[in-house]
Order: sequence, then structure tokens, then C-alpha cells
Amino acid sequence: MDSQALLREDPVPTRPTHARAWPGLLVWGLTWGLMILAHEALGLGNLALMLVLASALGGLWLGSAPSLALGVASVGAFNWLFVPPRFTFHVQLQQDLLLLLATLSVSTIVGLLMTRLRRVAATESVRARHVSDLARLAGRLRESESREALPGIFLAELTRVTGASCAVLMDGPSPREALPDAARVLWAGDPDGIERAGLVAMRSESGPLGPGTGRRETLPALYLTLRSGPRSVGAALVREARSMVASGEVHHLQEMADLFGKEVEHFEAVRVAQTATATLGEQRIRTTLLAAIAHDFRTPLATIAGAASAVQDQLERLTPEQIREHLRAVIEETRALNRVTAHTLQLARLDASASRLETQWESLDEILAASLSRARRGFPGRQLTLELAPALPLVRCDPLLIGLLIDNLLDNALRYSPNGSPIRIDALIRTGHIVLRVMDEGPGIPASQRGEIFEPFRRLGTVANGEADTAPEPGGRRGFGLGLAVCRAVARVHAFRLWVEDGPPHGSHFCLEIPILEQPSCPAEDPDRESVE
Amino acid sequence: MSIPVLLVEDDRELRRTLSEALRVEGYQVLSSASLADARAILAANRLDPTRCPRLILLDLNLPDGDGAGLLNDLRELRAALPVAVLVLSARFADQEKVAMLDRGADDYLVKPFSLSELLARMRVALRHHGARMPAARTKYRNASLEIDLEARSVRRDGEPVRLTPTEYRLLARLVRQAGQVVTHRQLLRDVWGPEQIDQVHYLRLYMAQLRAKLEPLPSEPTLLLTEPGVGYRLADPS
Repeated sequence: MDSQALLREDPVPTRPTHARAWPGLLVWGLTWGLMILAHEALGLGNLALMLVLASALGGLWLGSAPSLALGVASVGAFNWLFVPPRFTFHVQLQQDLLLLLATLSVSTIVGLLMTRLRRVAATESVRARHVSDLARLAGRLRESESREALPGIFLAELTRVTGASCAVLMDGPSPREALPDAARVLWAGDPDGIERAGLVAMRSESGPLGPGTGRRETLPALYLTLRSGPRSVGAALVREARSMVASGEVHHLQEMADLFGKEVEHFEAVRVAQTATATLGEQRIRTTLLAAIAHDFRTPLATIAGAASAVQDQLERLTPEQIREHLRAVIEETRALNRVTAHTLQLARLDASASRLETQWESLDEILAASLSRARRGFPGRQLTLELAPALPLVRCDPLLIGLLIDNLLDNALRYSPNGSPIRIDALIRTGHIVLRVMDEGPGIPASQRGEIFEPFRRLGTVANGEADTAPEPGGRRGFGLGLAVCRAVARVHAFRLWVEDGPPHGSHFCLEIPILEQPSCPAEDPDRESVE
Repeated sequence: MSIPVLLVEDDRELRRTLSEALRVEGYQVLSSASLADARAILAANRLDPTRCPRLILLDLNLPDGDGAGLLNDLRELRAALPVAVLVLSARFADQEKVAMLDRGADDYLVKPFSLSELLARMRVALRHHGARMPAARTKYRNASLEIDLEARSVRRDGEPVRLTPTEYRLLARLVRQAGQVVTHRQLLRDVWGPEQIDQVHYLRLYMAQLRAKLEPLPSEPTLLLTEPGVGYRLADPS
């Protein structure tokens, strides 16, 4: 059964448009009562008009057959009772005959017109209801945020329109359009085993089955197909359909099902477009990052290539001092390359698996001591002081990542502050948090750039007052494009707050805020029992 | 007589560089590029005391598997002969590396490492496997710290230090492998017992107590060193 073809027929109203006929009978009764009582005062003409009026009004409530019958019977009774000679069917005057015939015609026509008018009005009201059902369904489906919510919406609308309990099956998205939130088959409405089998079988049907469809009329439920073009999206069923569904409503329900199918396709298409746009955006960022990283890898490699090939080519002509200098450069640049590699790997790793953080109970003392000793090895002769609050609570973190974060903050402080200036590290307890600070006395960071510096490859640009530019950097500006970005990524994955403040009178204080958790318990030990000298 | 060392490393350049450097230092180097090769070399040389490797440098990223299989195979050999194993890893946060240490590897190095680092770790490892039976170290002396396990004495700057029984057991465990890393798991198992191998916070608290009592500057330790993510190491006195 092609549902499109069926749509062209007028839908038949499912319920009688009014169950009441008695007002019509009342009208006739009153009219006749009035005619009998006042026939002396009113002329034949007026009585005839009253008949026509009754026919018109009665037609508002009565069906066409009763209306017609009453009309004809009334004209007959009118003839018998009022048209001279009275109490006969004989008509004496010709004009009275004309009156009778005219009355009969007009009342019949009016009665029939009224009936037809009522029927058309009912049809229109059903049509309007169908249109509003479809519009409402479409509106609710369009508003939905997720594909998984769609069958529930359809189920709600179907239940509302039919007044019966229903069930819906919706397929997962087609493999061609793999969506991020791909779902498997979804059920709504609690279908039982037999119903599930029926719904699954419906997916290969092209039209509805069940009562009112002309196919498999004996099925206990009405089954609808959910299709978007040639592709099946699922199926739906309406239970106890037999009792209330006439053929017109079945077509409407299948219309709703078809609309659902199209909306699902639309939803998927929108999602695919959004994913494509997001992917494009990510790829653009990745390309920029790759270009910047490539530079930071290639530059130390260039130095290594140069120095090593110089030693190889010029070996006989170089003094041991010169050779040593080349090799120093190679080792130094290898360290720089190692740092860029470690940073890039960390950023990629942290990007990829944000939730899989391996934490243990760690002692900040230990992590800071290790970072500090590394910093001292890299920058001998710089003044580094550590002030930790006594008995710092243990924290839950990944010690290698937090170690890397502190290494980078120290590196940053050492490179962006003048050679003689001190670097201080402290850890204080402030309202349920440990605040760790790495403080330098360099030129500081202008307030406007405090967010930006944590972006990959943002270096302090030249500032209007020239402060940033004049900072001497013993290690050179290279290789730190990623350092602070890694710090931020590490802080973020731990959900620790990282920010930078001004240090008086000048300099930057990089601050890391770590929440204090409930400390694990340790078995008590009696220190005086069997102690050791 | 030079000490035979087995190098298991699949990267050709690195293998050549390390072999050369180790030969210059006086080691006798046998190199292999895979686990299969390594097993073959061990099989061919195990009965000859002058050629049986005393130390194995084992890269973790080999084409025919991780080194865990080799460690298992070595167990029998290492029961009879002292063979030290140093694991070479490309990654810092490597659970595999910790697992290898727990299974009996002596120490680890993270690439890229300098020659001096490698030589230092090798020296420590060989010293620990110097005799036929793995010798338990009972004496330790480094800067201001003097420990004698037989006499149960711990002195700092000549003055005796009072330690609780647990602190002492922890220190002793580190002394037994002085210069080498001891994993969290090994420490917890040997000091607190096998049921406590997950209670890492015990170590944090007790190591802090030891540092406070023994280090000249507890906030910047030079003796009781932390290997993040792996374990602890008592500094090599040499």
C-alpha cells in the first residue's frame, strides 16, 4: 500500500463528529409545536418558512437521512394539516402547490447542504489536527540534542496521538556515517519478545501492516515502518490498534512515521557536517603546531649536524680545544632536543588520554628536591632557595608529570631572569590547598599576556616599554615555546590551578594550587620499643 | 682480564657507539640485536667463566619481545653465577621498567643517557654481583653517614642516631643494594610484608623521617635519593 497514494484521499473522521441528535429533534418538535399553536395567526407563507428554518437548524445536528426524512414528512404533514382543504392531501390552490413544492425543495437542499457542510468541517478539522501533529513531531525532533533521544520523542508523540500504548525500534546509525555517539539498536516502550521480533521483521517491509492497512488485518497491533528513502531506520507499533484505528488514521500514523524517518536522516546529516567542521578545525591547529614543533626539532639538529661534521671533516686542522667546543655544542643541543621531544610527547599524551591519570600518594618534598637538583646541574652558580612549610601533606599526583611541570617552571625562571638574581621556591598551606610558588626577579609578565603565555609557542613579544626584550637570557630563547603549554596541560589533567602573578618589585610568581585530600593512615609504631642506636 | 658484557640493543648505531665506548673502558663486549641472538650468545658462553657475561645491558624495545622473557630464562643461570642486568628504556613513565626491576633487574637507565651515567651504574651493579653468591652489603659509608648492619649502628657525623625499628629496616634494605634503585614494591614487601605492597604512602612518610634524621639538608637530599615513579636509591658512595 503506497502511503503517498492514500494521502490523496480524504481522511474519514474516526469518531462521529457529534453523538447528539436530540437538539435536531428538539428543533423540529418546537417548530411543529409553534406551527400548531399559532397557525391561525401566522399565514401559510410564514409556516412554510418556519419549516425551512427547522430543516436548516435540524441539519446542524441530524444526519442527512433523518434530515431528509423529517423534511419530506414535515411537508406532507404541513400539506395535511394546514394547506386548504385541511386534513387532506389535496391542494386546492395552485399557488399553495407551488408553496409546497418550493418548501420541499428548499428544505431538502438546505438539509443536504448542512450535512455536507458539517462533514467538510469535520474533515478539515481532522486535517488540521494531522498537520499540527506532524508539525509538533518535527519541531520536537529538531530540538533534540542527541540521536538516542529521538525514539523516545517519537514514542511520546505516537502515544499522544493514538491514545494507546506503543513501542519503537530505532537502528544505530549506518556504518557509512560513523558518528561520535554511535549507538546500537534502541528500543522504546518496552516491547515484549514477540513484538520485538515483529518490529525487527518490519524493517524489511515497505508499508504498514495490521488492522486498517489492508494487509495482515488480524495482527494484534498496528506495525509502522520508519524509513528514510530506501533505508530502514527502524519500526514502530501501536497496541490495541483494532479498537480505535480507522483507515484514515493509519495513513496519518504512517505519515508521522515517515516524517520521523526523514528527521533521523536530517539529524545524522547535521551531525556529520558538524564533525567534519570540528575535524577541519583540529587539523588546522595541528598543522600550525607541527610547523612550530618541526622548527624546534630542526634547529638543534642543524647545530649537531654542523658541529659533528666539522669535527669529522676538519679533524686534523682542529685543536683539541676546538674539538671539545664542537662536542660541547653537540651535547648541549642534544639536551635541548631531548627536552623538546619530551615536551611534545607529553603534550600529545596528555591531549590523548585526559582521564587516564595514574596517581599515587606523593611527597612534594621529594618531587621538588629532584627538580631542584636537576636545575642546579643545568644552571650551576645560580642561587636557588627552597622554603617548604613543615610536614606538608601528601598529594595525589603523577610524580613524573608534576616533576616535569616544576622543571619547566624552574627552567623558565632561570632563563628569563638575569644571571645574578635569585630564584625562590616555596610551598605554603592556604585554606585546604597547598600553594607552590616558583618566583623569579626578572622583568615579569605584563598583565595582558598572562593567559597567553601558556599557549604553545607564545613567547613574550616585544612590549611597548621594552622590558621583556631587555631581559638577558643565559640559555637563549629557544626550546621554550612548549614549556609552559606542557605545564598547563599537566595542571589541567590533575585539575590543579596554575597561574602567574606579579612579584614585587618586579618578576613573576608562578603558582600551582593543589587540593589537600584526606590523608591515608599509617600503622602506629611505638618509637621507644626496641629502637636502634 | 676484562669483564664480559652482553649488550642487547636493536638499534645499530647505538649498539656500535656503546660497544666502542665500553671496549675503550676495558670491557669485553658481546652484542646482539634481538632476544633470540642474546639467548644464543648466553647458551654458547655460559659454561666458560672467562666469556660468560657478568652484566647484561637489556633494551626493552626489542623486535622479538620485551626483556621479561629473558629475565625469566636468566633466573637459573643467575642462581649459579652472578649476572647483573641493567634495563635500558626509552620512556620515563614505564610500568614495564618497574616490572623488570621487581622481577630481578638490578637497575635502569633512560635514553638518552651519557656514558658516564652508564659506566657508574655498571660499576655499582658489578660490585653487587662481585662474588659467586650475591654479597649482602653490610657496611655503608658516605660523607657524614656511617652504617654498619652487623653492629646495628647508624652514625651521622660520628654521633649515633636513634631510629625506630621500621626506619632501621627500611634503611637496611636500601643499604643492601647501595647505589642501586629499589622499587616501591620491593621495599614495601621486604619491610612491611607482602600484603602491604600497595601502601606507597608508608614509604613517603618513613623516607621523610629518615631524611630528617640522616640528611645534612633534608629538603635537598644527597644520600637518600628518590627515583620518581620507580623507588628509592641510597647514593653510591664511590
